[in-house]
Amino acid sequence: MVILIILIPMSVVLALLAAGMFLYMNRQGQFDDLESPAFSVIADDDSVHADQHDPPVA
Amino acid sequence: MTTGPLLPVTASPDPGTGPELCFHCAGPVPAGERVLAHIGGQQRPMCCPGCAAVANLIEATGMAGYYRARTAPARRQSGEAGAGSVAPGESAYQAIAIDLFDDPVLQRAFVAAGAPGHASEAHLQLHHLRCGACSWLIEGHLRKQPGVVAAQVNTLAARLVLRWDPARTGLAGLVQALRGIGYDATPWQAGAQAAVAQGQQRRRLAEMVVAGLGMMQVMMYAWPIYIADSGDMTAGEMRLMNWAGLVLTLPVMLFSAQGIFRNAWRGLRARHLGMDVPVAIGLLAAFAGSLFSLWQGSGPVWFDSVTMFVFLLLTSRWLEQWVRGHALAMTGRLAPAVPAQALQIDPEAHATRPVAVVGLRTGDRIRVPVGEVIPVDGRIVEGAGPVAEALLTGESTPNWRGIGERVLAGSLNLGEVLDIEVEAIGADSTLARILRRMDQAVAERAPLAGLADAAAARFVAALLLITLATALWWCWFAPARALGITIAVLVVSCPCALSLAVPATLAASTARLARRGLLLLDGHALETLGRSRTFVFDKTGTLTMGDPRVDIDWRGTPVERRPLLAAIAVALEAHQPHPFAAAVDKALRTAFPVLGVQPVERRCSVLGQGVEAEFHGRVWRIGKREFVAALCPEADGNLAADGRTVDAVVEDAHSGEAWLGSSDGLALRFRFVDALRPGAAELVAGLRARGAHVALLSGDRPAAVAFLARQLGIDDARGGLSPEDKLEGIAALRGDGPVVMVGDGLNDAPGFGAADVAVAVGRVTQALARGAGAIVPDGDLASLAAAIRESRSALARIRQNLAWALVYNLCAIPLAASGWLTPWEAGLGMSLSSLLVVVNGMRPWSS
Amino acid sequence: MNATRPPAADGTAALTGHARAETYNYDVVRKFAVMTVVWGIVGMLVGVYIAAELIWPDLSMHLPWLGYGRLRPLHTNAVIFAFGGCALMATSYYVVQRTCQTRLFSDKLASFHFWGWQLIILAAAITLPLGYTSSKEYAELEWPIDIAIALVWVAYAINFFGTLAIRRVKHIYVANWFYGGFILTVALLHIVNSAEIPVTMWKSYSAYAGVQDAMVQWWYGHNAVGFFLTAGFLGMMYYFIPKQAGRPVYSYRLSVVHFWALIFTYMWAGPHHLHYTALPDWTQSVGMVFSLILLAPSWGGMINGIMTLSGAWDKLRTDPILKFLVVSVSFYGMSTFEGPMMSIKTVNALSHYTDWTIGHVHSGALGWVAMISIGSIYYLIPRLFGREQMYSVPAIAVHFWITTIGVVLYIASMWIAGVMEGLMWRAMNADGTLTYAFVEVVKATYPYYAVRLLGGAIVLSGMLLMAWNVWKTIAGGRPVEARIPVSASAHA
Repeated sequence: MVILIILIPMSVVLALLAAGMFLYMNRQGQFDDLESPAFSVIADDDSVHADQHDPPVA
Repeated sequence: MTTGPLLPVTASPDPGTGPELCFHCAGPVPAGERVLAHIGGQQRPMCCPGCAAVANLIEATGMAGYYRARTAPARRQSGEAGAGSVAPGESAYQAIAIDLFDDPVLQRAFVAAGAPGHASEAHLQLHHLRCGACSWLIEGHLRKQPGVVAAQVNTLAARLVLRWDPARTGLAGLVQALRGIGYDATPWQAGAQAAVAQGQQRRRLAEMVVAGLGMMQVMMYAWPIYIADSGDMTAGEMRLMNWAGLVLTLPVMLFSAQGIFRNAWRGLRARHLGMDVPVAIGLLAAFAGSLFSLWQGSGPVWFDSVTMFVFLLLTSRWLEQWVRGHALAMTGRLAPAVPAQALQIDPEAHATRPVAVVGLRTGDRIRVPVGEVIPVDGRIVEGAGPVAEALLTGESTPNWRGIGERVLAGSLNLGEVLDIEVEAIGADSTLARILRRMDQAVAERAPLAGLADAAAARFVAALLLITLATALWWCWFAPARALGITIAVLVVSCPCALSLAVPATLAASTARLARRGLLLLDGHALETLGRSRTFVFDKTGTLTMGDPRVDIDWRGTPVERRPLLAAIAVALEAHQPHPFAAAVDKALRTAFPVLGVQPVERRCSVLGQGVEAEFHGRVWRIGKREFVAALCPEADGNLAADGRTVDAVVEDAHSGEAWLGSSDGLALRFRFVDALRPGAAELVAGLRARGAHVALLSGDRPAAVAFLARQLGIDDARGGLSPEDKLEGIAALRGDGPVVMVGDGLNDAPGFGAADVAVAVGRVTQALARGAGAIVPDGDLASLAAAIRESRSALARIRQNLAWALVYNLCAIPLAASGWLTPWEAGLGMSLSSLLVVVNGMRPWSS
Repeated sequence: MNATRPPAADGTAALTGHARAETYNYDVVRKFAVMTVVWGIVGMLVGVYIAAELIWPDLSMHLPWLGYGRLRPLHTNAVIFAFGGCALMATSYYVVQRTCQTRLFSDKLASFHFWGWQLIILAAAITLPLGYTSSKEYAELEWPIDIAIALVWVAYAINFFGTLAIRRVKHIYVANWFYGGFILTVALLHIVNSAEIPVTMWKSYSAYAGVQDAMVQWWYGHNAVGFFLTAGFLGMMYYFIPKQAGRPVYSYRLSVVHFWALIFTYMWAGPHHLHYTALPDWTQSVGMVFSLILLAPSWGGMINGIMTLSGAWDKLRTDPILKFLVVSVSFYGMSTFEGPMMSIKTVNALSHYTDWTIGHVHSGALGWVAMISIGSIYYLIPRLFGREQMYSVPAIAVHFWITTIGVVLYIASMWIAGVMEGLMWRAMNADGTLTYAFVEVVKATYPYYAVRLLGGAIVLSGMLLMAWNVWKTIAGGRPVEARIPVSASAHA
């Protein structure tokens, strides 16, 4: 299984990258509040009634 | 297809029935003139212009999505006074003059100023938060304000961290924006510590996740080696796997396990053997041994054991910390808030100006308007009147305070304007001391936990000896297996039930108690509550409300005459400081809501007897029967003959009565009924059902005590006791084991000292002074019943954990020492055992 | 990464060249959404056609480019990469813009991405029937197209992550994590698996040989399932179910844990596609073990998706879009349970090479992928074309029932056929000879193939109904330029 020489180091690098990504995002405070973000998506009004819509473009 | 209907959040699923509800606050819309707001493309009904203003602003700033996301209606904008009107589970607070937010003195307490050109950071306690959608609304609204860099709300604790550019906007403007959408904020003075705590929390999370990632990945490299048949994998492939494992174990050892090594090192230097010592030795030995094997090209490699062990251990600890943080947040949110602003009296100008409380000094004089919360501990120098410790106790019976008497920060001024000389502010105030003790009760290790820790140290010492013996034995007989077996012994042993599970159990229970309305002030209170079989209650203010309710005896009074009598009674009692007066007033106003106060003449009150005044030219009296009857001696007998005298026992149970009468005779009787506290009957019944001894020791009249005891089914009821009698009674009961004393902290000071744990119902201040171990601020005895169940359950969980730990260690250590366990099996066993005890410790009580 | 950025974040304004930073880029979303429907019909039509060929082999009319062998890869490519791909691209561009409250990083890249991707699909539709194939499952396209895919995918990645980078909301919503994981991983999988040595314009050889090639192929193949067909569509689930139900995700915390657990555990499940082959035994066992472990994060996601409806179950009765979304999650739960079971070696001994596998794939592809895509597209179309709702809501309900019935017929027939095949193949007489000749097994499966064709045709008819509904909706509406809410743009 020569291919393991490629696949295994690659998965090691990927794991380290994933860990690095997590640490970076954690430091940015992405995981401080895991309750209110769920609400922000619901609150975003993307219906056609939303006032922010321009009249349809001709 | 719209994503969700914009509907007011109501309890009733069918808005079609019942009165129209305000779209903003879900309160009823008054009939008559309709207030409307244009929200989400539709006209929505509003209950008042206040709600409409807020709703319009939310709509105008593009935040109408709030109405879609929320799960609870917003706060009503009118009909509520500023302070004291709060939702359940939220502390009362005092609003602050808006300009003060920009006062550098006030800001010192809660703002971290940035370097010039950088953002400042303020920590604020939010008010009127209802659900997660509020957090979203607040964050979004603030971020739109010019100069705001970041705004983040913690929904659970209702706290806001606001970063803004002071060069572009003032904090006052931002708070004003917050008020514009119906919320308010006050300084949160512990904010700076919280920022540190958040850093630690992030760090713990990072350590745990890195260990988790390491565990999953290293396991992937280790598994093939375990499951491959011999000869199936080449030596090269195995080495490749092991090297990959090493690369991913390094971050776990160097980053995640740092705390474990540091703890172990600190412990060793302090000559204290914590559970981290064997863990650290085991980790180092396993890692070094694996490195050696890898270097040599043969021999066992335990990277998977190392990473799994670290991950599961950190998970247990993270859970424990999380529970503890949760408990802190719960108690913090329940505590009342002291205003951060005061009106300072300028002695020269004879005027007042709002200042920050933190800027006050001892000896300064401040003025407290009626209806406001007293911001400092101090002595009254001008004015007198009823002062309620309502914010502290949740109970509204005010105490009369006059010149020279002490008042405490956090109490509510009900009577008249008071001038107060400052004695203690902020952290020195009584309230702050209570809060600190509550925090400590959560944060510090309870005696039980300390005991467990000490036991764990002995356990670890014994374990190290066993390990040494095992190592020597195997070195002698089978040196090749010595390292693996030694590591297995170190790793398999689990003192977690002692050092980890006990604090986790206590923290989880404390948080649950706080949620149910019982705050622990002493570390040992929980344990004692759970162990006690004897419960001593005080009567007045404890099992009863201590806050007389007035029962008006209308019998024999023609309906058309009732309003007149009511008006007379109200007029006579107006402005009387006696608590009964307030109660009479309240009862009459409940019966006749439109009652106005009519003028009386020549009012005079006779101390201890009642009030006399002229109403429309006629002399009326209200007060004691003899006092009133004295107006017309011959009428007295008539009334008695009416057969209105009720059952003598019931009569006795009431603490008193008052009469209204004129020269025509007695006209109306008021009876003061001291109602049972909610949950009292259930509490006593529950205790008795569990076989506990319930005693009622009271200083009240024996007949009243006996009546109450019969009502509640208490056999051991003693009335007419002096404080010394109570003391002796409790001391005698302590012969049968620990005694819990439940009182209101007012009349039972000696009892509080004599019992093993004292629980104060209601009054917090006194409770603290008397050394209560726990308080039930809202006076709901159901909370106490729940607390006792919870405490028992916590002790039961601790016992289960200890039993488990005993069985586990007795089986696992010999197995490991005799070479039956590989290190990874040992690590798995230990980790699962520790997770088991922590989770068992945290699980909610079941019954 | 500040919470607030100046509006017209420099990147957007610079790249678009004019002051349109105030609106979202719905244009690219519209194009991908419409093409999702088109390619869905094409892909499923090819599927129905080859299903019919299995019953009436002469249907190919002896034309080589209509043969089963050439059209089957066209069917898989069309439904996975054209239909599923377009759905993922439409929704990811919509979700990333709405949750970051910012316009796409670059309109030009978006345009390049759309047209590039359509050309690639077109190229596949031409080369595969002509017989140009690298013979790697789910990666049959030849090297020039592989290079084009890599280029277009890089444009997609830059545009998606660029948009995340210029977001105006501090928090990155969890759906974006799933989309991001899908985009990055698929890029990596594609590049590693498609490493090949060209010999002519339309012929290349894999860079790996023999069992190594098989290992890489299924490392790719299974992770494509994991990241293309799972992670990406989970992103869809975490946005569209809460939006359509009007309720926040049941547990946001669980959704984040779910993401990281999936990322950390997925990579090694591939070898279960190669049980009882020349692949070393230990590799097969590892594949099996990690396939079983995967059940935990998969079900975490399913529970989270379904429980989002708790307290709003009544909406399920009346809202056909929600029905699509929720039933798709149920199918997700079923197939992520079935998959690990089938990866157990003893079960695999029965199921492998039978139609059970086909049934499993379609419970995932039709039940999960197609239904959640259809639900999401029904959600998007009215919003993109300025209509309050689809032209005909009852037609959505009809489509839902049609699809459900078709999928159930399909899965059930293939499941029975597969188990029967497995049992017949392994049946032995007392003397050790096989009880059934291969052709007998083929004959026995005949009726089930007919049911499968029926199921497939029913699903296809549902797609035609959808196309009519979408057409009518678009005809009655006009393209929307949605303004970015004021709350997002900080004051300058």
